[in-house]
Amino acid sequence: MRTVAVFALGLGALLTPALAGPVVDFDRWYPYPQAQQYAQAYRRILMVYFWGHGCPYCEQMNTFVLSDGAVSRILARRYVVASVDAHSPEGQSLSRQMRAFGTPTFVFLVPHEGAWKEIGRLFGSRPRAQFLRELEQFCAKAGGEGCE
Amino acid sequence: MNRRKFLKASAGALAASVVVGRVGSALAQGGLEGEDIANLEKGLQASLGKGYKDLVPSQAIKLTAPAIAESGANVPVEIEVNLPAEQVKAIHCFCDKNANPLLFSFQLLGGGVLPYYATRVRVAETAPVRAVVETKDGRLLVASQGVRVTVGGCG
Amino acid sequence: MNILIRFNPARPKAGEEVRVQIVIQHPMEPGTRRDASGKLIPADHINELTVLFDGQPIATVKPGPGTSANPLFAFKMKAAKAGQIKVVAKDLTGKSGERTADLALA
Repeated sequence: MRTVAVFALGLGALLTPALAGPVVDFDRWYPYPQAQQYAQAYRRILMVYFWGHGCPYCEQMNTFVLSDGAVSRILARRYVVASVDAHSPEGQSLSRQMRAFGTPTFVFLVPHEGAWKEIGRLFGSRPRAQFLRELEQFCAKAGGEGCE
Repeated sequence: MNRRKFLKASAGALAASVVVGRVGSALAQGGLEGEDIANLEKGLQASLGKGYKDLVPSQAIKLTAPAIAESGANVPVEIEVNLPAEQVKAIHCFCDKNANPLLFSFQLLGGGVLPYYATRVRVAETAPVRAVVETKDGRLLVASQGVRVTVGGCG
Repeated sequence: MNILIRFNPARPKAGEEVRVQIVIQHPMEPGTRRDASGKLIPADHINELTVLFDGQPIATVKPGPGTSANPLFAFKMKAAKAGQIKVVAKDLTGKSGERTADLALA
Protein backbone atom coordinates (compact mmCIF):
# COMPACT_ATOMS: atom_id res chain seq x y z
CA MET A 1 0.00 0.00 0.00
CA ARG A 2 2.74 2.36 1.03
CA THR A 3 4.87 1.46 -1.99
CA VAL A 4 1.98 2.12 -4.32
CA ALA A 5 1.36 5.54 -2.83
CA VAL A 6 5.01 6.53 -3.17
CA PHE A 7 5.09 5.20 -6.70
CA ALA A 8 1.94 7.09 -7.63
CA LEU A 9 3.35 10.28 -6.20
CA GLY A 10 6.61 9.83 -8.04
CA LEU A 11 4.87 9.11 -11.32
CA GLY A 12 2.55 12.05 -10.80
CA ALA A 13 5.44 14.38 -10.22
CA LEU A 14 7.11 13.07 -13.31
CA LEU A 15 4.20 13.21 -15.71
CA THR A 16 1.84 15.93 -14.63
CA PRO A 17 3.59 17.96 -12.01
CA ALA A 18 1.14 20.83 -12.24
CA LEU A 19 -1.79 18.58 -11.41
CA ALA A 20 -0.19 16.38 -8.79
CA GLY A 21 0.93 17.42 -5.35
CA PRO A 22 0.39 20.84 -3.79
CA VAL A 23 -0.07 23.81 -6.07
CA VAL A 24 3.13 25.81 -6.16
CA ASP A 25 2.96 29.53 -6.73
CA PHE A 26 5.71 30.16 -9.26
CA ASP A 27 5.06 33.88 -9.29
CA ARG A 28 7.01 34.16 -6.03
CA TRP A 29 10.52 33.20 -4.96
CA TYR A 30 11.75 30.52 -2.56
CA PRO A 31 14.74 29.80 -0.34
CA TYR A 32 17.41 27.93 -2.26
CA PRO A 33 16.77 24.36 -0.99
CA GLN A 34 13.04 24.64 -1.64
CA ALA A 35 13.52 26.21 -5.06
CA GLN A 36 15.93 23.41 -5.93
CA GLN A 37 13.30 20.80 -5.01
CA TYR A 38 10.65 22.53 -7.09
CA ALA A 39 12.96 22.90 -10.07
CA GLN A 40 13.71 19.18 -9.92
CA ALA A 41 10.12 18.06 -9.36
CA TYR A 42 8.57 20.38 -11.92
CA ARG A 43 11.41 20.25 -14.45
CA ARG A 44 11.95 23.95 -14.46
CA ILE A 45 14.99 26.15 -14.83
CA LEU A 46 16.40 27.19 -11.47
CA MET A 47 17.29 30.87 -11.41
CA VAL A 48 19.39 31.64 -8.35
CA TYR A 49 19.12 35.35 -7.62
CA PHE A 50 21.86 36.72 -5.37
CA TRP A 51 20.93 40.16 -4.04
CA GLY A 52 22.15 42.44 -1.30
CA HIS A 53 20.46 44.92 1.01
CA GLY A 54 21.46 48.45 0.11
CA CYS A 55 22.55 47.56 -3.43
CA PRO A 56 20.71 50.07 -5.65
CA TYR A 57 21.07 47.83 -8.70
CA CYS A 58 19.16 45.01 -6.95
CA GLU A 59 16.54 47.54 -5.90
CA GLN A 60 16.26 48.63 -9.53
CA MET A 61 15.71 44.99 -10.58
CA ASN A 62 13.14 44.39 -7.81
CA THR A 63 11.14 47.51 -8.58
CA PHE A 64 11.21 47.79 -12.36
CA VAL A 65 12.38 44.57 -13.98
CA LEU A 66 11.36 41.52 -11.92
CA SER A 67 7.83 42.91 -11.55
CA ASP A 68 7.44 43.68 -15.25
CA GLY A 69 4.49 41.80 -16.78
CA ALA A 70 6.38 39.97 -19.54
CA VAL A 71 9.33 39.14 -17.26
CA SER A 72 6.97 37.84 -14.56
CA ARG A 73 5.10 35.68 -17.07
CA ILE A 74 8.13 33.83 -18.43
CA LEU A 75 9.52 33.36 -14.92
CA ALA A 76 6.21 31.95 -13.67
CA ARG A 77 5.87 29.69 -16.72
CA ARG A 78 9.32 28.15 -16.99
CA TYR A 79 11.46 29.08 -14.00
CA VAL A 80 11.75 28.67 -10.27
CA VAL A 81 13.42 31.61 -8.57
CA ALA A 82 15.68 31.02 -5.58
CA SER A 83 16.03 34.23 -3.59
CA VAL A 84 19.41 34.46 -1.88
CA ASP A 85 20.51 37.29 0.41
CA ALA A 86 24.18 37.29 -0.56
CA HIS A 87 25.21 38.67 2.83
CA SER A 88 23.40 36.11 5.03
CA PRO A 89 25.50 33.18 6.34
CA GLU A 90 23.84 30.69 3.95
CA GLY A 91 24.03 33.23 1.14
CA GLN A 92 27.73 33.77 1.66
CA SER A 93 28.52 30.08 1.49
CA LEU A 94 26.28 29.61 -1.55
CA SER A 95 27.95 32.61 -3.21
CA ARG A 96 31.34 31.01 -2.71
CA GLN A 97 30.09 27.66 -3.94
CA MET A 98 28.62 29.22 -7.10
CA ARG A 99 31.36 31.82 -7.46
CA ALA A 100 28.86 34.66 -7.40
CA PHE A 101 31.01 37.59 -6.36
CA GLY A 102 28.65 40.52 -6.63
CA THR A 103 24.98 41.49 -6.66
CA PRO A 104 22.75 41.20 -8.49
CA THR A 105 23.92 37.88 -9.90
CA PHE A 106 21.60 35.42 -11.63
CA VAL A 107 22.79 31.83 -12.03
CA PHE A 108 20.75 29.55 -14.28
CA LEU A 109 20.75 25.82 -13.55
CA VAL A 110 19.00 22.77 -14.98
CA PRO A 111 18.87 19.26 -13.53
CA HIS A 112 21.13 17.02 -15.57
CA GLU A 113 21.97 13.38 -14.84
CA GLY A 114 21.38 13.70 -11.15
CA ALA A 115 23.34 16.93 -10.82
CA TRP A 116 22.86 20.60 -11.66
CA LYS A 117 24.25 21.96 -14.85
CA GLU A 118 24.86 25.68 -15.21
CA ILE A 119 23.49 26.98 -18.51
CA GLY A 120 24.46 30.60 -17.96
CA ARG A 121 24.77 33.51 -15.56
CA LEU A 122 24.27 37.25 -15.52
CA PHE A 123 25.86 39.89 -13.37
CA GLY A 124 24.50 43.40 -12.91
CA SER A 125 21.22 45.19 -13.41
CA ARG A 126 19.76 45.48 -16.88
CA PRO A 127 16.76 47.09 -18.61
CA ARG A 128 13.52 45.09 -18.89
CA ALA A 129 13.78 44.33 -22.60
CA GLN A 130 17.31 43.00 -22.26
CA PHE A 131 16.52 40.81 -19.23
CA LEU A 132 13.46 39.43 -20.99
CA ARG A 133 15.56 38.55 -24.04
CA GLU A 134 18.12 36.81 -21.85
CA LEU A 135 15.41 34.81 -20.05
CA GLU A 136 14.04 33.72 -23.42
CA GLN A 137 17.51 32.66 -24.54
CA PHE A 138 18.20 30.57 -21.41
CA CYS A 139 14.74 29.08 -21.72
CA ALA A 140 15.36 28.08 -25.34
CA LYS A 141 18.72 26.65 -24.35
CA ALA A 142 17.05 24.49 -21.70
CA GLY A 143 14.54 23.35 -24.33
CA GLY A 144 10.78 23.02 -24.23
CA GLU A 145 7.77 25.20 -24.77
CA GLY A 146 6.67 28.55 -23.43
CA CYS A 147 9.88 30.50 -23.81
CA GLU A 148 8.16 33.60 -25.20
CA MET B 1 27.64 48.03 4.00
CA ASN B 2 29.14 46.68 0.87
CA ARG B 3 29.11 49.60 -1.51
CA ARG B 4 31.92 49.04 -3.91
CA LYS B 5 30.35 49.26 -7.29
CA PHE B 6 31.35 47.95 -10.63
CA LEU B 7 29.85 49.98 -13.37
CA LYS B 8 29.46 48.36 -16.70
CA ALA B 9 31.78 49.82 -19.30
CA SER B 10 28.85 50.61 -21.57
CA ALA B 11 27.31 52.81 -18.92
CA GLY B 12 30.46 54.72 -18.28
CA ALA B 13 32.45 57.27 -20.18
CA LEU B 14 31.15 56.40 -23.63
CA ALA B 15 27.50 56.76 -22.71
CA ALA B 16 28.24 59.92 -20.76
CA SER B 17 29.60 61.68 -23.80
CA VAL B 18 26.67 60.56 -25.94
CA VAL B 19 24.05 61.62 -23.41
CA VAL B 20 25.58 64.98 -22.58
CA GLY B 21 25.78 65.74 -26.28
CA ARG B 22 22.13 64.96 -26.85
CA VAL B 23 20.80 66.46 -23.70
CA GLY B 24 22.21 69.87 -24.52
CA SER B 25 18.84 70.91 -25.85
CA ALA B 26 16.11 70.71 -23.24
CA LEU B 27 13.74 71.36 -26.10
CA ALA B 28 14.63 68.23 -27.97
CA GLN B 29 11.41 66.58 -29.02
CA GLY B 30 12.98 63.60 -30.67
CA GLY B 31 16.03 61.41 -30.50
CA LEU B 32 16.45 61.34 -26.73
CA GLU B 33 17.79 58.02 -25.52
CA GLY B 34 15.11 55.58 -24.38
CA GLU B 35 12.27 57.65 -25.85
CA ASP B 36 8.95 55.75 -25.72
CA ILE B 37 6.23 57.98 -27.11
CA ALA B 38 3.61 55.18 -27.15
CA ASN B 39 3.95 54.63 -23.40
CA LEU B 40 4.15 58.37 -22.70
CA GLU B 41 0.97 58.81 -24.74
CA LYS B 42 -0.90 56.48 -22.36
CA GLY B 43 0.12 58.62 -19.40
CA LEU B 44 -0.75 61.88 -21.14
CA GLN B 45 -4.18 60.61 -22.17
CA ALA B 46 -4.94 59.16 -18.74
CA SER B 47 -3.97 62.24 -16.78
CA LEU B 48 -4.58 65.18 -19.12
CA GLY B 49 -6.80 63.75 -21.83
CA LYS B 50 -4.23 65.06 -24.31
CA GLY B 51 -1.57 63.50 -26.51
CA TYR B 52 2.07 64.04 -27.36
CA LYS B 53 1.14 66.07 -30.43
CA ASP B 54 -0.61 68.60 -28.19
CA LEU B 55 2.63 69.46 -26.37
CA VAL B 56 4.46 72.59 -27.47
CA PRO B 57 8.20 72.77 -26.73
CA SER B 58 8.98 75.87 -24.72
CA GLN B 59 12.11 77.67 -23.67
CA ALA B 60 10.18 79.16 -20.76
CA ILE B 61 10.60 75.87 -18.87
CA LYS B 62 13.86 75.11 -17.16
CA LEU B 63 13.98 71.41 -16.31
CA THR B 64 16.93 70.27 -14.27
CA ALA B 65 17.62 66.56 -13.85
CA PRO B 66 20.87 64.62 -13.92
CA ALA B 67 22.00 63.31 -17.33
CA ILE B 68 23.24 60.19 -15.53
CA ALA B 69 21.62 58.71 -12.43
CA GLU B 70 23.45 56.01 -10.51
CA SER B 71 20.15 54.81 -9.11
CA GLY B 72 16.76 55.24 -10.72
CA ALA B 73 15.17 55.15 -7.27
CA ASN B 74 16.01 58.71 -6.37
CA VAL B 75 16.42 61.17 -9.21
CA PRO B 76 16.22 64.88 -8.31
CA VAL B 77 14.02 66.92 -10.64
CA GLU B 78 13.60 70.68 -10.53
CA ILE B 79 11.23 72.62 -12.76
CA GLU B 80 11.25 76.39 -13.03
CA VAL B 81 8.82 78.17 -15.32
CA ASN B 82 9.67 81.60 -16.62
CA LEU B 83 6.06 82.77 -16.95
CA PRO B 84 3.92 84.97 -14.68
CA ALA B 85 2.43 82.82 -11.89
CA GLU B 86 -1.09 83.93 -12.87
CA GLN B 87 -0.70 82.21 -16.24
CA VAL B 88 0.30 78.83 -14.86
CA LYS B 89 -2.30 76.33 -13.73
CA ALA B 90 -0.17 73.25 -13.07
CA ILE B 91 3.20 71.57 -13.55
CA HIS B 92 3.15 67.88 -14.50
CA CYS B 93 6.04 65.53 -14.91
CA PHE B 94 6.30 62.31 -16.93
CA CYS B 95 8.87 59.67 -17.70
CA ASP B 96 8.61 57.74 -20.98
CA LYS B 97 9.58 54.29 -19.70
CA ASN B 98 7.81 54.13 -16.33
CA ALA B 99 4.88 51.68 -16.12
CA ASN B 100 2.91 54.66 -14.86
CA PRO B 101 4.43 57.53 -16.85
CA LEU B 102 2.90 60.32 -14.69
CA LEU B 103 5.39 61.05 -11.93
CA PHE B 104 3.47 63.90 -10.26
CA SER B 105 1.20 66.87 -10.77
CA PHE B 106 1.66 70.16 -8.94
CA GLN B 107 -1.23 72.58 -9.02
CA LEU B 108 -0.94 76.27 -8.18
CA LEU B 109 -3.97 77.70 -6.39
CA GLY B 110 -2.82 81.30 -5.89
CA GLY B 111 -1.69 82.93 -2.65
CA GLY B 112 1.65 84.01 -4.12
CA VAL B 113 2.78 80.50 -5.13
CA LEU B 114 5.31 80.67 -7.98
CA PRO B 115 5.64 78.28 -10.93
CA TYR B 116 8.49 76.27 -9.46
CA TYR B 117 8.58 72.72 -8.18
CA ALA B 118 11.30 70.34 -7.06
CA THR B 119 11.10 66.72 -5.94
CA ARG B 120 12.79 63.34 -6.32
CA VAL B 121 11.43 60.70 -8.67
CA ARG B 122 11.81 57.08 -9.71
CA VAL B 123 13.05 56.46 -13.24
CA ALA B 124 12.51 52.85 -14.38
CA GLU B 125 15.29 52.83 -16.94
CA THR B 126 17.13 55.19 -19.28
CA ALA B 127 14.47 57.51 -20.73
CA PRO B 128 13.48 61.15 -21.15
CA VAL B 129 11.84 62.97 -18.25
CA ARG B 130 9.29 65.56 -19.39
CA ALA B 131 8.08 68.67 -17.63
CA VAL B 132 4.62 69.58 -18.92
CA VAL B 133 3.31 73.01 -17.93
CA GLU B 134 -0.42 73.57 -18.18
CA THR B 135 -1.32 77.22 -18.67
CA LYS B 136 -4.60 78.82 -17.62
CA ASP B 137 -5.47 79.40 -21.26
CA GLY B 138 -5.25 75.67 -21.92
CA ARG B 139 -1.83 75.31 -23.54
CA LEU B 140 0.53 72.47 -22.72
CA LEU B 141 4.20 73.44 -22.83
CA VAL B 142 6.95 70.88 -22.59
CA ALA B 143 10.66 70.55 -21.89
CA SER B 144 12.47 67.21 -21.95
CA GLN B 145 15.69 65.92 -20.53
CA GLY B 146 17.26 62.51 -21.06
CA VAL B 147 18.16 60.63 -17.89
CA ARG B 148 20.45 57.63 -18.24
CA VAL B 149 20.02 55.10 -15.46
CA THR B 150 23.31 53.34 -14.87
CA VAL B 151 23.32 49.58 -15.08
CA GLY B 152 25.78 47.74 -12.90
CA GLY B 153 26.26 45.78 -9.75
CA CYS B 154 27.66 45.89 -6.25
CA GLY B 155 30.74 43.97 -5.22
CA MET C 1 3.54 60.28 9.07
CA ASN C 2 6.43 62.47 10.07
CA ILE C 3 6.38 65.75 8.13
CA LEU C 4 9.14 68.36 8.14
CA ILE C 5 8.76 71.89 6.77
CA ARG C 6 11.67 74.24 6.14
CA PHE C 7 11.82 77.78 4.77
CA ASN C 8 14.73 79.15 2.82
CA PRO C 9 15.53 81.87 3.72
CA ALA C 10 14.29 81.06 7.21
CA ARG C 11 12.93 84.60 7.65
CA PRO C 12 12.36 86.25 4.27
CA LYS C 13 11.79 89.96 3.86
CA ALA C 14 8.30 91.08 2.92
CA GLY C 15 7.80 90.46 -0.80
CA GLU C 16 10.84 88.23 -1.09
CA GLU C 17 10.70 84.73 -2.64
CA VAL C 18 10.81 81.90 -0.14
CA ARG C 19 11.41 78.25 -0.94
CA VAL C 20 9.22 75.93 1.11
CA GLN C 21 10.65 72.45 1.44
CA ILE C 22 8.55 69.59 2.74
CA VAL C 23 10.00 66.17 3.57
CA ILE C 24 7.77 63.28 4.65
CA GLN C 25 8.82 59.93 6.04
CA HIS C 26 6.90 57.51 3.88
CA PRO C 27 7.92 54.36 1.94
CA MET C 28 6.00 55.52 -1.17
CA GLU C 29 5.53 51.89 -2.18
CA PRO C 30 4.91 51.98 -5.93
CA GLY C 31 3.10 48.61 -5.99
CA THR C 32 5.62 47.14 -8.41
CA ARG C 33 8.35 46.21 -5.95
CA ARG C 34 9.03 42.56 -5.12
CA ASP C 35 10.13 41.68 -1.59
CA ALA C 36 12.75 39.08 -0.58
CA SER C 37 10.27 36.28 -1.23
CA GLY C 38 9.30 37.69 -4.58
CA LYS C 39 5.85 38.86 -3.47
CA LEU C 40 4.61 42.16 -4.79
CA ILE C 41 4.44 44.75 -2.03
CA PRO C 42 1.04 46.47 -2.38
CA ALA C 43 1.00 50.08 -3.53
CA ASP C 44 1.09 52.52 -0.62
CA HIS C 45 2.15 56.00 -1.58
CA ILE C 46 1.05 59.52 -0.77
CA ASN C 47 -1.40 60.48 -3.49
CA GLU C 48 -2.49 63.87 -2.25
CA LEU C 49 -0.70 66.71 -0.56
CA THR C 50 -2.40 70.01 0.18
CA VAL C 51 -0.62 73.16 1.28
CA LEU C 52 -2.60 75.89 3.01
CA PHE C 53 -1.57 79.41 4.01
CA ASP C 54 -3.62 80.84 6.87
CA GLY C 55 -6.30 78.26 6.07
CA GLN C 56 -6.46 78.97 2.31
CA PRO C 57 -5.31 76.18 -0.04
CA ILE C 58 -2.43 77.55 -2.11
CA ALA C 59 -1.13 74.39 -3.80
CA THR C 60 -1.83 70.69 -4.19
CA VAL C 61 0.47 67.91 -5.28
CA LYS C 62 -0.64 64.56 -6.64
CA PRO C 63 2.40 62.32 -6.44
CA GLY C 64 2.22 59.01 -8.27
CA PRO C 65 4.13 55.78 -7.66
CA GLY C 66 7.01 57.51 -9.47
CA THR C 67 7.80 59.74 -6.50
CA SER C 68 10.73 58.44 -4.43
CA ALA C 69 10.56 57.06 -0.90
CA ASN C 70 10.72 59.65 1.90
CA PRO C 71 9.59 62.24 -0.60
CA LEU C 72 10.75 65.80 -0.89
CA PHE C 73 8.33 68.42 -2.17
CA ALA C 74 9.59 71.94 -2.70
CA PHE C 75 7.85 75.00 -4.08
CA LYS C 76 8.38 78.76 -3.99
CA MET C 77 6.09 81.58 -2.96
CA LYS C 78 6.16 85.33 -2.51
CA ALA C 79 6.30 86.05 1.19
CA ALA C 80 3.78 88.88 1.17
CA LYS C 81 2.97 88.53 4.87
CA ALA C 82 3.70 86.40 7.88
CA GLY C 83 1.35 83.49 8.39
CA GLN C 84 0.93 79.79 8.96
CA ILE C 85 1.76 77.10 6.41
CA LYS C 86 -0.14 73.87 6.87
CA VAL C 87 0.63 70.67 5.03
CA VAL C 88 -1.91 67.85 4.85
CA ALA C 89 -0.83 64.52 3.29
CA LYS C 90 -2.96 61.47 2.47
CA ASP C 91 -1.85 58.09 1.21
CA LEU C 92 -3.54 55.26 -0.70
CA THR C 93 -4.31 53.26 2.44
CA GLY C 94 -6.22 56.20 3.93
CA LYS C 95 -3.57 57.23 6.43
CA SER C 96 -3.03 60.93 6.73
CA GLY C 97 -0.74 63.38 8.46
CA GLU C 98 -0.45 67.10 8.90
CA ARG C 99 2.03 69.65 10.10
CA THR C 100 2.07 73.41 10.49
CA ALA C 101 4.95 75.87 10.42
CA ASP C 102 4.93 79.60 11.00
CA LEU C 103 6.37 81.76 8.31
CA ALA C 104 7.91 84.80 9.97
CA LEU C 105 9.24 87.82 8.11
CA ALA C 106 12.55 89.53 8.73
